[in-house]
Amino acid sequence: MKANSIDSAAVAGSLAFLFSLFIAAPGLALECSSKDLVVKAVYDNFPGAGYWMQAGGNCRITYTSVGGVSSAMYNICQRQRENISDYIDAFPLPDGDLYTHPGGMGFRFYDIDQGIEKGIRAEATFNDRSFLGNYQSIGTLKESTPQKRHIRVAMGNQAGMIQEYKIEKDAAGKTVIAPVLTRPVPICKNLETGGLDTEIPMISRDGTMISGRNRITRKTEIYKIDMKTAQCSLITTVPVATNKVSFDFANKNIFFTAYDSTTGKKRLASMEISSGKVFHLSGPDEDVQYVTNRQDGSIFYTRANGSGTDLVELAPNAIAEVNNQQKTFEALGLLWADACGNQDVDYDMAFGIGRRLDKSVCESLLKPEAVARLEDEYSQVSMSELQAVCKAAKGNELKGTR
Amino acid sequence: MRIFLVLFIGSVLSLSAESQVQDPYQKNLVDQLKNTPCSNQLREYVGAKLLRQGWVPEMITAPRARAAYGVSLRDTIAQKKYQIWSTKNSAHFAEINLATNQKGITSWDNKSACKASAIQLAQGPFKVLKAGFTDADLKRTLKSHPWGLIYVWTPYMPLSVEGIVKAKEVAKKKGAPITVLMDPAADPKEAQKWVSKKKVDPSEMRKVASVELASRNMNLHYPILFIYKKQFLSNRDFVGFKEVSTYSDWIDMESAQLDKELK
Repeated sequence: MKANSIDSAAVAGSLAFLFSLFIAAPGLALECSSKDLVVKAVYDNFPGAGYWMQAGGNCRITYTSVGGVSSAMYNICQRQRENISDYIDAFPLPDGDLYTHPGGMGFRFYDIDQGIEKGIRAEATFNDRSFLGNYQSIGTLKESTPQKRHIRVAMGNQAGMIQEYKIEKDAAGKTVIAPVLTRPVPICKNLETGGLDTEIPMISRDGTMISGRNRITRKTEIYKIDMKTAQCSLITTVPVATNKVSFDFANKNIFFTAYDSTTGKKRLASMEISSGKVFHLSGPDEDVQYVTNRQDGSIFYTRANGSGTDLVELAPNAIAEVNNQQKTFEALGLLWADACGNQDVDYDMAFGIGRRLDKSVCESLLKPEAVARLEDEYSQVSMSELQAVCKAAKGNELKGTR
Repeated sequence: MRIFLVLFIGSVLSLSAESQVQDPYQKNLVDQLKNTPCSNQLREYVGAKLLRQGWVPEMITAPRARAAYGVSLRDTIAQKKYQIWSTKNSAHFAEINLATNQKGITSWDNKSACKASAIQLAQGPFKVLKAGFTDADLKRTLKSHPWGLIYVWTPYMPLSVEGIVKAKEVAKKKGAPITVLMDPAADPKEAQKWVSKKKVDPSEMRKVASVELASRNMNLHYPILFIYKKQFLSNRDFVGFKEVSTYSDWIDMESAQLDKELK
């Protein structure tokens, strides 16, 4: 009996000790990497670099080239590559049932299932031989319904030249596609530079805006398109050179990669179109290659991982809203940097880190002595504000599992 | 009196004509700097010769500071990099010696009557790759020819593969040497697949290891074409797949612009 009591006490004591460790150190240890930031999923060793990614439906991402083929597709639900027709620049419609290829053969629409099954032998559902070019992007006009879609396509290497298509099902359930404009329309010729560039024009998801690089200033600009006059009016200018931007489906923000000349890495960034405010969103160890947005609000980006590429998925609303709390988020990002001994983080990166911190990591950073050591400009940020932000932060589902 | 009037009107007209044909790149920089605090002091310090060059937008970051969105200029002849940026009340000019990695920053603040202040710090370059087309290779290339082209492709963008033949064709038409290089992040196995398809020559799989090239927004988009002239590598690049005629027009325009800027 005595022995059993000692054993029980020993076991109870061990359990209490382990439990106390859990209480004393809530959450998990700092990784001091992007693993401390909230992500929904990471698809390690993603095949290719994910350039020009576009999401089609819930499961599929198309992008340019891997394995010596001209277009590639990745099924994130099954975590594997899928076949797609080997023509350049596959670009799916957001609903994911159709995708397009541009090129000298014409602007072609394909059924996704056919494309996967037959690859290059898939027959185009519709081919517009009068709309040539490459670097296409697609917006869906607001009058569209799931049964009757009206899309607007901008051809990037034709300086954003536009054609529109109506996509419907006939009585037999067959997809019928027809061009809307009598011929493709050149746009933005009213600009001082004579038009958009021929590399990065991207139309917004609702078809009303277009991005392009100003040949003189070399900055990306966002324009409102007036299809009645084919003229464009400037809405805002991104203060740096960017790659092809991705409009979100709310048509309120653009996402892009911006080159950091100090580190040689590219950052994930967004810009609020109405205000022109730029937000940095990636961590110091991330070298972001490309970003795209999905219809449900998810964000996907690829980043170099030393030996290849990871595809990162952020859930809708994974990035905390700013709500006049810039200083609070910056302070959190700097607390993380200080805890990790990283003195190279700048305030813009800290802001992004603060908005993406995992909840348990966030809470573990809130030590009064660490907060007191922050720069004077954060002296007005109270502990209760920091705690409130951490309380609202999301948990990183992947933390501790990778 | 009549002669005076004719001369006066003539000078006014010629001034108007001159302002109308002002270089658009220079005009762009002048317009940007107009709104900069302590603009006069900054412009006087930087000097007209440097301001005449082809500056490009750049995001300038520093530890525990706010990112600035300014302009930069890399000079492969002087082996220097320059940056200009401003905040609400101040303007800054940085000169980086690329050989010694010493960075000197001169600042003017309108809160102190635009009096200049200066600091020196060390700023090493980031690393690209150990092996490949290095800065030494680039230097040799720039010195070896009066002018030429550098084309960078990636196995992950098929149009950059298709564009190699276009770039080489325009180089041949123009009598220019062309150096074809590969994305430093490319997997050689992926590149080899394009070689097997005979779209790429094995000699074109040499990766960019040059900090100078990698510093020019090189990996924002492929393909990317650079032009160099009189040992100066232009800061303006040309991205995207192009037909030969488009490349030809750009080369002519860029070459003429460089002649103006390098005077």
